[in-house]
Amino acid sequence: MKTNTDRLNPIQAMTLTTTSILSVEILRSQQTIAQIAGQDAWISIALGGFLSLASGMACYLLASLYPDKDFPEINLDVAGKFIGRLLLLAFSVYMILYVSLSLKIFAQALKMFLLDRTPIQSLVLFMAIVAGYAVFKGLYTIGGVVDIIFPFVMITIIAIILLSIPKTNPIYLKPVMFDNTKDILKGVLPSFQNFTGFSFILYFFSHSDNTRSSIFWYMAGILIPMVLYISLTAVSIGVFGVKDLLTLIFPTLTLLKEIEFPGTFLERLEAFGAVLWIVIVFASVVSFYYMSTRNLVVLFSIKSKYLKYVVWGLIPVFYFIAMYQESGILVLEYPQRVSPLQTILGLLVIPTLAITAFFKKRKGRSQ
Amino acid sequence: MKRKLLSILIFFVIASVLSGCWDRKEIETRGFVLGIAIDKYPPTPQAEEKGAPGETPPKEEEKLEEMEVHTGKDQYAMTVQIPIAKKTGVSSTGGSGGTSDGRGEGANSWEITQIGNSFMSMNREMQSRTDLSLYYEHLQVIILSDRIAREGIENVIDFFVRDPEMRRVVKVFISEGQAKSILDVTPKIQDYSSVYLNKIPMNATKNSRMISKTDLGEVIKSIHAGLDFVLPKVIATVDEIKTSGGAAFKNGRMVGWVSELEVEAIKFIQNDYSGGVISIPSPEHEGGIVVMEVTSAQTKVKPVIQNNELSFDINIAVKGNYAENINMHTHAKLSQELINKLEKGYGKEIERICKQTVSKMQEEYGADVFRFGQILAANEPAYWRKIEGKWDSVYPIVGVNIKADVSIRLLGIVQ
Amino acid sequence: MPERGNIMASIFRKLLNKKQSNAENRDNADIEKLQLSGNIQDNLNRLKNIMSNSGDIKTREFNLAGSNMKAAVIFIGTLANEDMIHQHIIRPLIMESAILFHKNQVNFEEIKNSMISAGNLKEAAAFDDIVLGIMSGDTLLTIQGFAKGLLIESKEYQGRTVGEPSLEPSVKGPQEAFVEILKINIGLIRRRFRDPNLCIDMHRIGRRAKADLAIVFVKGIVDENLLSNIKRKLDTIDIDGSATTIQLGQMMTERPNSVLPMYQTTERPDKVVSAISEGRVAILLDGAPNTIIAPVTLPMLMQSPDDYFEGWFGATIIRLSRYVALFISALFPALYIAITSFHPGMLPSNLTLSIVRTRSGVPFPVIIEALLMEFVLELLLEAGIRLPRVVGQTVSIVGGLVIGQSAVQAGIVSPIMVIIISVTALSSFSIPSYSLGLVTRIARVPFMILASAFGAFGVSMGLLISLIYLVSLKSFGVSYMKPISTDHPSDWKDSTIRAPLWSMKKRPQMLHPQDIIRLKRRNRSGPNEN
Repeated sequence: MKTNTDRLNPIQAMTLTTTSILSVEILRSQQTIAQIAGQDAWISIALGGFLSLASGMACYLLASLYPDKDFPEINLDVAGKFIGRLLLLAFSVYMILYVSLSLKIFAQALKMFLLDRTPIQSLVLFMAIVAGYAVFKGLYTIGGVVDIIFPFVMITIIAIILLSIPKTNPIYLKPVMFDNTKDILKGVLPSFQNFTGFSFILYFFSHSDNTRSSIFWYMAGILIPMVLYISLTAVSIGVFGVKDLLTLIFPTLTLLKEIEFPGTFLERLEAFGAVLWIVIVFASVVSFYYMSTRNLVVLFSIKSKYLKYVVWGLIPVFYFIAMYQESGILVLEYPQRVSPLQTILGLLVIPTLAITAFFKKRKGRSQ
Repeated sequence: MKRKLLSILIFFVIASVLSGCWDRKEIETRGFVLGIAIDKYPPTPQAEEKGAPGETPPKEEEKLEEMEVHTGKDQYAMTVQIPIAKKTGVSSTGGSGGTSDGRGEGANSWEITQIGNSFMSMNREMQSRTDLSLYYEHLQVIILSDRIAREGIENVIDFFVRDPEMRRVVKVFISEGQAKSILDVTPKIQDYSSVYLNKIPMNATKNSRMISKTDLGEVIKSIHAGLDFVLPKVIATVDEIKTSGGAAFKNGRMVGWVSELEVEAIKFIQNDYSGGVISIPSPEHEGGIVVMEVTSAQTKVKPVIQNNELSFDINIAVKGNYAENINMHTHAKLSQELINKLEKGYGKEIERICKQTVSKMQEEYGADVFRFGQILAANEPAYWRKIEGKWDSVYPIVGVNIKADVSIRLLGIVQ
Repeated sequence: MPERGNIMASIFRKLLNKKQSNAENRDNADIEKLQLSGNIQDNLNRLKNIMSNSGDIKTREFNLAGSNMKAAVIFIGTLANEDMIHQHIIRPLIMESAILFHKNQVNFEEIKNSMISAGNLKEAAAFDDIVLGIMSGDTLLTIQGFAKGLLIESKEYQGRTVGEPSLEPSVKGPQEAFVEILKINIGLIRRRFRDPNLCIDMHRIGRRAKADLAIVFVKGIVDENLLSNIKRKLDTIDIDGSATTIQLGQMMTERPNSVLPMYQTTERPDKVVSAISEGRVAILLDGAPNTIIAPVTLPMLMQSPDDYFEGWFGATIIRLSRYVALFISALFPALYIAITSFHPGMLPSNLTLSIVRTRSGVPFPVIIEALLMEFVLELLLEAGIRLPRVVGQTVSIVGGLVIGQSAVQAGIVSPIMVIIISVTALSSFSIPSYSLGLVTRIARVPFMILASAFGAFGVSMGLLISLIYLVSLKSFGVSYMKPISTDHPSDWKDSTIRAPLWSMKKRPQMLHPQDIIRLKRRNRSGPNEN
């Protein structure tokens, strides 16, 4: 995490936002939401997406009020030393939990689909170390890496969606919104949880070149994963039907396995898919990893020369949290348990901070 | 710091390589299971299937096939087909012969039969009989005997769905009689009967009497959604395999066979028809037959609720080419009038087979293989809610109106 | 680092330094203090002394144009053009300038301006200037009674003539390559780029060797920060003997331990010209046919001169296929290992079965088999380079027949592995930069090890690690993966693709050129204009 004069450009702002939102949830969010909202899960996800768009807007406004500070610093500035630290602690806890759970769920998916007998510990540790390496190299490196993997990620997800379309049966998506408005609304908050990565905006905003039009790039960064999530959910329901979908633990991976082109060399798409969903999860883990280090650095006012100890020191933390629960079934339920924290932070704290900061600045200006 | 980092990384890599390779298994040490046949055990409880192709195996082999079980008693006989790698090599030197299938030299595959009551345990028990480790990612087909199917397909299919090695694109077939005998076939142009059988349903775009949706995933989907479905039936001689008609399932249990013509009708109604042939007697020539090649068929099924009375309107729009005439001694140009007559005739024929099939499914089997229930639920959710619970009793008496509209486009290259 | 270094080594280094600096001080004191005196005999003796009385030092004493005024020339016979010295220094001084001596008294200026017909000369008095001049082939004229002499340029280096590029051949491009003589090399550049802003900044490198070095750039385009950065680094280089271009490059980069080339070396003048006109800096060294171009990024190493001599469409396709080759070269064996020994389910069933057939009977696991073949391949390559051309045929026979055929027939390796390794080798040679090709060959092994430990997961982790490394790497302040990952979308036009030349209106902005515009709108001849 070297400080350097390199700046991120608006396109990188978009790719960073998108890849941090496309998280491990892409492997199973359809199932989670379909459990609540049935065949209308995609509507819930759309609503959740709009909610996150609004929240992302708040992030953008908050960040643009303090163009040379990132979130932890803004937080201390707006909410004051004590409350700010308290909030920061909550954010840190949430993000550390998120990284650990992502690692664990990811490793579980890996074990299930690729590496049957490899111990989960080594998978988690390996991934964590590589992510740590990226974070250690700094935000600009993360931006560059994401820049390069972004097109591949997009092509794969879009390919999965397009290739599944011939297999979809639209009848599974019907009836649309019949007598389940309540369920759809219930699904909105869990869907919002899929988009939790947008808070990354607050962390890299101060490191990027922003012009007036850059807000569109930031919002595009939220819109792209939103469209992908919606279409992926719709396609999954169309292919599997709700009832079958509910029985699948990682529907996206099962979907990937269902696509075949008989007669060609690449008869099975999963060979590509396997490499790329690893990359997708990696990108989001790295962004959350970065956020947690920044939080801790500001929270404990750590000097920048000790930064590397924070980066590497987090790995055992992630590892032990990830390993805490051994049962695979229970781990899958954890994200839902963490979600209220995320909802509160994303929907209440950030907008409140934005509004407070706005008035504070206006007050400052009028004086 | 950098050096430390590097050494940690190197250490990690070396450590993982030395201690690792947990999952590494050389490709030639895996036994790629190509096909699975599941039969009921014991094969003939009340002399039910007298003419079954498979005879009772000799005592010695049966000793190998049996296993001790934790609970219950042996119920199933599972046969897996593994390719024999050495023999099919380009420059192999003489067969080693004498594999357990008893077919001696020219055999390309090895069929191992195991008797037991759960598939996972049978699978593992088989490992004690082979030096390969069985691997299911390349599984092509699962063949179930009709006795298994009649008892309920759901019972046996769970293992194949749950195991991550299994693919949902595996094709499922129902055999009349012993399922193992299908695997024993050596097709003339393929080494493995499973691979051969797997490719056959691809021709369903050309032959309307073959069922195209036979994936394991399709089956599971239907079972989970509580829908009825049809699976292809497979029959075999010593060196030939044929899929012929199908088996209708209701609530995951086979309720009866479906003939080839009925399959055609089902595909029409399910809007799954992608190409086939229909022939009718010529309206103008005694004993003549005119044949139409169907190029596309679009079916719309609409639930109609009138006075709280449910019925289904089925509109089939068929486009086709005039393909052939037989026994029609004329060289005259085909008149528009004749074409119109033919179009009506074909429409009638399609309506006839559809009606016949629908009434057979409704009355005889009670199986909703046309998925009327699903269509109703999607389009009239409010009404569906009301009758959801008693659909089984509503379905057999529900009215179905079928209308087929045929138009002939091309006449071939002669007039 | 130093405090961790080996104690013995540091002591040794200290001793060495001391020794060196003592010797150096003495020499330097001698030379620096000394000035030419009026006595030519004295001057000649001293100069000879300083230059260790070498056998190829030639002196000639004579009287100026029949007068009794004594003069002498001193030069090194092996470096200087003796013919030129005779024709343009000695002959005019002895024979042709007699009329000027009517006064029997002549001053230094007159000799300098009127009596010598050589082209390039300068006055010199200090011994260190003079010695350096003589050592590089100049001639010193010293005249009795004057405490200064004339240093006349009379260099004539022997070297080969401009030939065809051997390492970077091209199909349609110019067939000229740099030679070992700096003067010719600079001429090759100048001829292609007649901008008065083309700046050639001369330096000397090596405490003893004092080799000529030219920094070539275009004023007004090049980023001043980059230039001063390079100059600063050149100044800090302290090297005793002579340096090759490669050593020079390694001493200049921020990441000398990087496996990837941090500077581009080329032997093609056209490549240097296009690089400096983009705003990069070239460094030429006398005695080396290679030129350093800095900064460099990965996509630049993937460019070949032929890309610019073809239509943009063809060039783009070829360039993209080269990127595919890059991936194949680094990853193909690893992917094969991952898929066959971890995820055989990912292959089509028929392919799987035929791999099983070819593998059955092979005694080694895939990883060992691959490493074995890889090692043999490297041996073949090395042998092919080392062997004299006459026996070079043997290598291909041994390689092709023994390794390809017999090893397979003996059942030691599977035929499919031979195919994989050959395709990989082919790919690594289709990478235009030799050093980059070498890197992919090296990178193959760690990828294979990762693949045999974690399968596809290991490969993708390896890819991520190398991606992070590549992005964080910087060559003279420019991130290594630019312009693939870029701040300036217009730079993409010449990255993995090659856009039409008329559309590349701007210079690559990652190099921060002062003058961004390459093509003015009016000059463009797009598809609709002629």
